[in-house]
Amino acid sequence: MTLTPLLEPHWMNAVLPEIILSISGILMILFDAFAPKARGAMAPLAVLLLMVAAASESMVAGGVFFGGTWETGALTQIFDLVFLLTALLATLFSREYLRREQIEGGEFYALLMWGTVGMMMMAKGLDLLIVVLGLEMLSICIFVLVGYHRRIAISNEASLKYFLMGAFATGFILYGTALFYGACGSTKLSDLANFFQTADPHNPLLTVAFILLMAGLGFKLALAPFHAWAPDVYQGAPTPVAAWLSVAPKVATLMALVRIFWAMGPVAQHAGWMHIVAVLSILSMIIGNAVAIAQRDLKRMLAYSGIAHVGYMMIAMLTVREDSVAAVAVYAVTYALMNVGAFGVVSMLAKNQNDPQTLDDIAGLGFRRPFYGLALSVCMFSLSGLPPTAGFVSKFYIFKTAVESGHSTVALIGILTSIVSVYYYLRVVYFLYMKEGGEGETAIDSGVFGVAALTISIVGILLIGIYPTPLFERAGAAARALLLGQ
Amino acid sequence: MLDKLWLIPLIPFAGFLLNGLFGKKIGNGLVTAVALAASGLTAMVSTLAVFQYLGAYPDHGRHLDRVYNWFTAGGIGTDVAFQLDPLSIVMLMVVTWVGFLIHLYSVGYMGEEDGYGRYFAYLNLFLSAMLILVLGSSYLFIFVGWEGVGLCSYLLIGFYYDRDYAAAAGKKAFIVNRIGDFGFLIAMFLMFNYAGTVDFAGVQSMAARGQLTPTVITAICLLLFLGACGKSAQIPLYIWLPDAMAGPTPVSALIHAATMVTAGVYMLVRSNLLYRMSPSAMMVVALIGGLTALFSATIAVAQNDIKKVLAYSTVSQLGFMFIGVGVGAFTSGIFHLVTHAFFKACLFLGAGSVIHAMGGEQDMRKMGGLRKKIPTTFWTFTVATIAISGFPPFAGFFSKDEILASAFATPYFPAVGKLVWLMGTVAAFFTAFYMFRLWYLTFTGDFRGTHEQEHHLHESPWTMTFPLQVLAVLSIIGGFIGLPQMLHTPVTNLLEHWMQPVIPEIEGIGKLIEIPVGTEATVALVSTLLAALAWYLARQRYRGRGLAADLATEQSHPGLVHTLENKYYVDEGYDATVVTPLRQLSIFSWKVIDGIIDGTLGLVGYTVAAIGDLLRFFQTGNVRNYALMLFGAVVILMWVFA
Repeated sequence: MTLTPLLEPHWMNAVLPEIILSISGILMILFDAFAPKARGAMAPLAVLLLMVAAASESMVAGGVFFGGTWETGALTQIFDLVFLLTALLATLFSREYLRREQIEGGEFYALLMWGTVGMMMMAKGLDLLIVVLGLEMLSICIFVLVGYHRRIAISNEASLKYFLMGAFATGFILYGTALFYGACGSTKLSDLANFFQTADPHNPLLTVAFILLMAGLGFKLALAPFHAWAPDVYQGAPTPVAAWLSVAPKVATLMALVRIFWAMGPVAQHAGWMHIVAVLSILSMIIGNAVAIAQRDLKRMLAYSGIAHVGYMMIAMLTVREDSVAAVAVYAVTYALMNVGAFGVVSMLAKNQNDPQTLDDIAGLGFRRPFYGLALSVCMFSLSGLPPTAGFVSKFYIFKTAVESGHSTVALIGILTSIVSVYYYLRVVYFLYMKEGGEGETAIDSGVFGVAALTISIVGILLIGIYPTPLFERAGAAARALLLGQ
Repeated sequence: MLDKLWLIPLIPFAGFLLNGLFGKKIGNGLVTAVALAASGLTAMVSTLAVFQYLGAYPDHGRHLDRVYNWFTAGGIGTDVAFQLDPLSIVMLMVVTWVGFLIHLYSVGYMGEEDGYGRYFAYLNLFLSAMLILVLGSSYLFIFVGWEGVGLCSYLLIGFYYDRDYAAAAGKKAFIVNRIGDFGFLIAMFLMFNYAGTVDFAGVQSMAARGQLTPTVITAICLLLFLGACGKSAQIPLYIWLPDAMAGPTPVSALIHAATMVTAGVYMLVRSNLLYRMSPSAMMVVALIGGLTALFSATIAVAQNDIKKVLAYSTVSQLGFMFIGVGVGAFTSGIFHLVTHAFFKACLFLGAGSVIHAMGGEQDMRKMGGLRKKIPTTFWTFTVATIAISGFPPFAGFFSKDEILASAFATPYFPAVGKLVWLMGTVAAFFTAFYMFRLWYLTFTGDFRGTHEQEHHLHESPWTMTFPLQVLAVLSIIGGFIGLPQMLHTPVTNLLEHWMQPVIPEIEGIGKLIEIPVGTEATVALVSTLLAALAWYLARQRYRGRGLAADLATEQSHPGLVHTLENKYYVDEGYDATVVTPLRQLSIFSWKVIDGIIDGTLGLVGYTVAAIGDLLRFFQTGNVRNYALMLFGAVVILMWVFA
């Protein structure tokens, strides 16, 4: 037996962004501790550090590291950039928000960074344990961030809810992982893939394991029927955190699922496991879109809308192949831009965190604050999938791959529900421009940072909508590289 | 110019950006200049492009201007590409020039309104989207314009957003249209899946080479028609158009009469090869068209709002166009589209001028005797009324009769064709009746409004009357582009020759219609006589008598009148069968499916809570119930699947 060296050469390069982000987080806390008077400089510093991390992505070495438990490549790079983009936008929106609520502190930015490290681990882990480790690291950051507004009751409540439910979900994931380990003797995805080549698709133990895993990960995705926490938690969380929470963890979990589904390959199809996923996807699309119609609270509406969007993305996951993985990657980018942008505008509403931000608060906002109106409208058009926004081409891509993989029925339900969804997205635009607002100002100044973040959202959404080819090609090549090793 | 076709939609888009961003700052004068320049320039550029096309393509083939690859996914993709061919050119000329006239008219009509800049920004944006729609070279690319015009229509219908019904009408229009879009989208997925392309020429050539099965073709045709039903307001999706009259009147003329609502007809003619390969789909189109034409013409008879009459009239006339397309007379459909654009735009703008003179009054019961007060409006309106009623030699006569004769002579389904002809002919009778009813009530007799209104009566400024005059002239001579065979004039059937390259004769694929001269003459005679009869009846009932006759009918047949007045209660029917259940489903999902947490599981939870004080801590939230739900879902999944 030969001993493989524990660390491959260049291993440092494989975790460069993670190292930078971890150290950055510590820096943020130290900065707050030693220079509390210079708090105003914290957000710019955080932005700078996130950008450094993003720049370091180009130096990341591709390949398999740490004894076959860690893989970097073009696709993980795209996902990393989505995580960083989401964190960046959340940071930009946080500045004015935290100031207004008078809760700015270095640990806020640090937690965003460390959470991002956790997501990167989920996306790169080739071992179920690495995925779980990343997930837990992320979850701890989320607990604290959701409850960051600690003087406010609903924020605490949301944090506690997420904590308790998250503990349940982790339990499910660990049980599922343990059962897989029991069946195949390893938690490495490469070993699982070999095991599944010959596994009996009708072994109930494996199905139980799969369901447990799906339930736990489904919780993180806010996939119906594991979604119940999402509206409460988004509502209670500081709005920029909700923006981040509604996108980044979902995207990270999707990337982990891509690897897991790919490893399960043939068995998953034979055992009808994908029927389970299809059922969850359909439930999410129907419940998410139908319930969103009845919401007047913007954050709750966006929560349900997010449930529906995960449902759309899961359609592409029903058959994991290059095209569908590329479609998920494209959708992840689009979803990050439009959802964070929408939450961003909500975070500028002047109401106290304790009160719900409803449609009434944006009545006539389009005239009082044309830039917010524009940004929110573009995000809504994109979420509802109208051309020429990114939402249209991304959704089209998802549905197209689903039809080509033979999942026409699910795709049809997706298209139908997305047409229903226009109703509540359009209602936002309707309130922005076709309702008279009440007396007084309902929004605060976004500051330079807010303007920058909204501009990134708008430009990104329109650019991808009008000229999506570079993104599509890059995602396609990345997906090929991941699945086929080309 | 031909390699810069993208300029045509881009010019009005630039106008939209300028007026949208700076409209409030630059003042009304500059807004007017920008809007008129944008729409006029795009009309001139379009015309220039058409002349260059005529020089470069003596055979009238398809000119393709590929800008860039929009996206490619899995080897299949779409270009952002514009095309010019005879069909695009007809649409292009109608859209740009009628569009320009209506921009001009709006200067006078909207002059005193708030949100002047906003209005013109939307109007320019609409023009831009509409031009993408008529110039795009693939289904997917025109879908961008398709959605864009829908959006502008929504914004413009809801322009007077401070009136609740206007905002609600805009929303209704958008949502009903989305149902049609669903059909359009699915049709495109079918094309991608079976033909591997969504390019117009690509799909048609795949179909012509027999690469698509008849079932697929029929499915595509029916789904495209669903899309057309939404945009072009056909049964069962017509309900949004009458409500859309809440928008400013020039908008009704441009979007809801002359251009956007004809997009469905345009798309079907674009896909004529597919339809000719699926007679059953054509029959559906013809029957729906016939039903819509008849149904809405009867509703128009009992409406008292001048714009509502014209709205139902538009639905009805669009029905005529679909009859033409459905029975295989694609050119006639386009012919009627063009003449209708002239006379209906003229009617709407004339109605706008009347409303303007009346100080915003739209109720015909309060009008009367306006002929001397607003003479230019009066004569242009009269011309358009004669044109739509189908009297020779005005524009509507030729196009409508070509459609009816084609329905009578269609080789695809002779028996159904006769039925459709009958529906169309009766509808044409009602058309003449409700138009002359409107004409007599508005322009003859005594003035029935208030003194204040009477004092205020005035002819509109030249920016409004000039477009009216141009459109009136076009309503007179517009029919000469499609003079029928039987007249033996030197320029017979210009439009049909022009359109030939778009509707090619192909071996083995549904042939084109040959109308026997006898049929043509008989059909023309019958409908002219019926129009004359309708005019006579209207004259008897309404000339100088106001609404006395209608009131008498209402007393003798209250049921009939109320049914018509309330548009056969279709809106109420939709509310009861679709809207309310959907809302209930939403609330049901929320309260029940989501509320299971608070319901059944909640009960379990509270029982548990009652047992131990330990759990009281969590009682405020629903965490316990959420956890039970998570757990329950896992158990159910295991039970079902494992």
